[in-house]
Amino acid sequence: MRKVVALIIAFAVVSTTVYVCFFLDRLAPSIELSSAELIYKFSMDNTSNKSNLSENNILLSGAVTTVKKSALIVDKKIFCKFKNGISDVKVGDTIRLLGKFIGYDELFQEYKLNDCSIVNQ
Amino acid sequence: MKQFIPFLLIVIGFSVPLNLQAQQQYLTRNGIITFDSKLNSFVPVKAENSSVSAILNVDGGEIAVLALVKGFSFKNSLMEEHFNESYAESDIHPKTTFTGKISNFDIQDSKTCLFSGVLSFHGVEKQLNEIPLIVEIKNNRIGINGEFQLVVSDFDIKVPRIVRSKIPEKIYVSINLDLEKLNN
Repeated sequence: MRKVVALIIAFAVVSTTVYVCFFLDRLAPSIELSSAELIYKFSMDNTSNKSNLSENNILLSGAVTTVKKSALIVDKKIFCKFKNGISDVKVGDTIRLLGKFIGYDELFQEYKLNDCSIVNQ
Repeated sequence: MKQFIPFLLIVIGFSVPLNLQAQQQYLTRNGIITFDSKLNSFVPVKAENSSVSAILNVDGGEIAVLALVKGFSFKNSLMEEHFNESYAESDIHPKTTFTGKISNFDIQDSKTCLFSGVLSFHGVEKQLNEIPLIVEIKNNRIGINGEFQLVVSDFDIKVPRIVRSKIPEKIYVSINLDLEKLNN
């Protein structure tokens, strides 16, 4: 009986560790970039580099050039869509935000970040 | 020089209305495209992209829609990863587009119009014919809604035999655009 209990506990510990590691690994990485650095990294014709951008969260800093209902345009080139509405942000503000890079929009010639949230300075 | 003046006037006369016409565009960056297998499975194959870009030229009814493949979000993050890596191969084919013309489009009238054009996904172009779209004209806004069906095997998507039974053959795609007038 003790063996079974020990086995169950061991299994629970191992599975919890694997689960935590898996999710920490997914949550943790973020690359800090300016708008110009993001554009430069994307412009380098290298698939592994591009997937590196989208696999990590991007911590972007730049100046707000347009404010919309649930999105901001940073440095005229980066379209950042927010999870929730935006408050207390105006054109000209310098901000830092965390988002997920999804690619380049050829229609509007903008780089897109999804699920953004503002990070306190 | 005097010989050229009438010629110049004609050129300017033609180009001014053309420019005005070119300004009659409506656009959005927050369009929504969802795809859904509509099958009652344990883990539904359903995803939504709510950052779809679209531009509509009012005069000719031409429309261009672009969705970044990585913008499709699934409830199940593992399914999203598989979709991007194995099926849509979004690093190689990062976008899906939808370009064509809405026939019998009229800026004065809300009605059902027909879209014909080309849908491109996973590097494959598929002709779409007469897809009904509900076009709703509001104050300086145009709403476009519609749904159509696609066959997964048309898009050169390699499905491993082991999961073939879990991947639906048909997918329902719905599109929802709220376009606003381009201010110049």
